[in-house]
Amino acid sequence: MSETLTVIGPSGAAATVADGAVSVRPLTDFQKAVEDGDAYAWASLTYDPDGHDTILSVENNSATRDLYIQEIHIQSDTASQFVVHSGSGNTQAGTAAVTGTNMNRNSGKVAPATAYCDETANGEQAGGYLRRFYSGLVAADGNVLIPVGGTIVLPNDHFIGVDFTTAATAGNVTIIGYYKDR
Amino acid sequence: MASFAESTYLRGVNGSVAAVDTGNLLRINPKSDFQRAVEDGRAFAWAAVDENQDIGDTLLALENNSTEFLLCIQTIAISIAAAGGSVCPVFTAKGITVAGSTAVVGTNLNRNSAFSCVPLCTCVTEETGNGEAASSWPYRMYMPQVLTTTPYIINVDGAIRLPYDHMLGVDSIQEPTSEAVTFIGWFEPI
Repeated sequence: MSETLTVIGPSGAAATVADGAVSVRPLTDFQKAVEDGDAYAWASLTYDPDGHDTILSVENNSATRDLYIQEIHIQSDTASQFVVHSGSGNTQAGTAAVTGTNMNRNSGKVAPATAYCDETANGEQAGGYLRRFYSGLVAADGNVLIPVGGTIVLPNDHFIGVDFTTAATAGNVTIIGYYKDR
Repeated sequence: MASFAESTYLRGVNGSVAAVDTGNLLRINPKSDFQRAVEDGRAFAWAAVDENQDIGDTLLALENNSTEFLLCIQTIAISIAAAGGSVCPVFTAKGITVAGSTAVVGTNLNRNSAFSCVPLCTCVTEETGNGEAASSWPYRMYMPQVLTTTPYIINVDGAIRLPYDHMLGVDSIQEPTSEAVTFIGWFEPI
């Protein structure tokens, strides 16, 4: 006796089998978050950072959802070390608030986050950057892309920050991330 | 031969049903071992601090001290400041006593997790305990030419696996005036 099984989704649609293979749609957590309107870009505005400034910091303010980091983009007009670090339990402050831009422009959702460029409230540099994710060098007028791929996870009240150790006249950092239920 | 047809849902352990999306495509969510380790709180970043190291030093070394976990490497990121750049050998060794100037504590990539890598590994900058350079790094894996102040990122994707007492190191053939090396990896239960 042979048995034929049709796989159907909650909507009642059936999955296709073509050429002896199930047709599937791989969907990463990031892609799903984009479709659901839960993915954001936080892009700093260009300014002239002092040495060891936090160019951009993003803090998760959701008690029920974790913030997953997808990409970090770093640009400077001056060669410098950079440090990608983390901390928790401080009150974020800085010269300019950065509002996350929803990657899905169909969505009206707003990121439960606090972000600043030139963030001044964290004491990570004074503490020796104890929670470093990455350290590296950016060339003068250089770009660095760190493809994190959702593998940094920030719970409520935790932040991610990017510092330059050398003063510059133009620096930028962009952080792409998404929210997922814990 | 008799046959019959049946429709079914794919239901997970939590009771949720797999979706079939537009175009009759069964939705799947592939997860790598690394992503799973991040979600389990077993993945770490070891990021060095700048120390203006001497020629011959190993910029960053990471040794697995656990007999219960393999240490799997996901990413190696190398930055140096040196005129003309430098070849930076990436190599392994075993059975050495790791020694260096600054201990680097791994940062758990999942900040929900309290799992610590401290008892499981040793990581130091300016490592001097290995003698691999003297014998041309017999267990070398990569020999990248790293441009000055331009990060060179190797996506290993778990293909380097360090058992107990094995280490991973990065050297610089030219003396840098500034350097930063980051290892990303996870502990896989044996």
